[in-house]
Amino acid sequence: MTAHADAELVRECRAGDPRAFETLVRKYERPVYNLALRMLKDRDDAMDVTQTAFVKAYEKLDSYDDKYGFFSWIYRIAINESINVSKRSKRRDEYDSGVTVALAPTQETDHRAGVLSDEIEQAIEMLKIDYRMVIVLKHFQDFSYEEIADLLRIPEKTVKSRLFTARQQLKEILDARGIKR
Amino acid sequence: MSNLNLDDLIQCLDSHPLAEPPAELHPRIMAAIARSRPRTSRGVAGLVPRWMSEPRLRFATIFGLGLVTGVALLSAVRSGKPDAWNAVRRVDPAHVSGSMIEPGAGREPLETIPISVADGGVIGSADVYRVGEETRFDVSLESSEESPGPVEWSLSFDPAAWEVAGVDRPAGSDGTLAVGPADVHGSTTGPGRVTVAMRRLDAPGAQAVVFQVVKSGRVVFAHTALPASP
Repeated sequence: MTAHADAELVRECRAGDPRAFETLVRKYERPVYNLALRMLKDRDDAMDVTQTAFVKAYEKLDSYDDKYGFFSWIYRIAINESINVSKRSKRRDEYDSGVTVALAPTQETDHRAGVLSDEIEQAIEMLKIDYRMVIVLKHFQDFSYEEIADLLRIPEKTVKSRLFTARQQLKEILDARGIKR
Repeated sequence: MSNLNLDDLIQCLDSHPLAEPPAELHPRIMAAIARSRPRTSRGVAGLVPRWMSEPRLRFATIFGLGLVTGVALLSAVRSGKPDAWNAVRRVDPAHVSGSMIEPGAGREPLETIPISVADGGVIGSADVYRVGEETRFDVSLESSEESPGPVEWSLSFDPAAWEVAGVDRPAGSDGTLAVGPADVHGSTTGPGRVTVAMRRLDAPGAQAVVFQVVKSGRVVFAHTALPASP
């Protein structure tokens, strides 16, 4: 249903209705921004990536193939942009534990969970980009293995193996930091 | 207390809430989109002659065009006219001050955009009028007493869809004013008022006009106006 609605909006935009694209921006700016924010841990970089992803999508609208769904397409653009920015900035090697992104805690999240949450975010930032990507897509964006495989254009088996390694590494980092449950 | 096991870790990971994007993100995206243009294959196909599909001719043409462009750029540099590269049309305030008619020509505004900034650094408003075929933005801005300093503003649009028909600044308004290919921008320190008249072109393109206010290098206000076609 959503894919059909998106395809219709793309068709309207191609026909010259700019409001249709704004509807797509409103629909997907939040998940795309969150993807970039989780990947880059920098609000400004995340905003830049989100903006660039939508502008590229708009400029290349004619090359978009609606059998893949607009959501997958914009996500793939955002993933590639995030990887490029991450490689350029090399921020991962210069990690500063003081740099954290303030997230609104859920009602269920108590102080202890908040501390753990910060520790996990910092640990994720220490992972290699391939591992960080699968963690973000699986746990923060709630994609299935199949969807992640499609987005990253890798076999589903590789997604599972990367996710397994990523979780193990996360646990090792947290153990090494003395994080207890 | 014991070390985290994998189940705890996965539970923690899955309980992360999505962050809310900053308020300025949406207008920023729309402003960038307004400045860009979709490259449709239909449009390109219409511009490329059929003989260009022949590879050798295409290569020769591209090489020739590159050579001509290079020579032209070199000439521009040597003749000391780098302004030729700058598509921004500077507007001499003396030529626009106090010259234009009433922004709405007595009509009620289609939309009034109050410029509200949380920290109180800027005060003002923008009125949108429709006068004949023109859409007019009447912008009044100034820094608040608590936060003096220049206020920058811009109206960004898709040049495929809009053109600037005229700009006007009443006598007594200070600051700078410039008209670019895809925006009109300016700055003011004291009370500043400017009217920008725009005309919708008969071509597909983004209808949105994005109004932004910048204070101390930071976007403090953004609004996407979508004036309906006349």
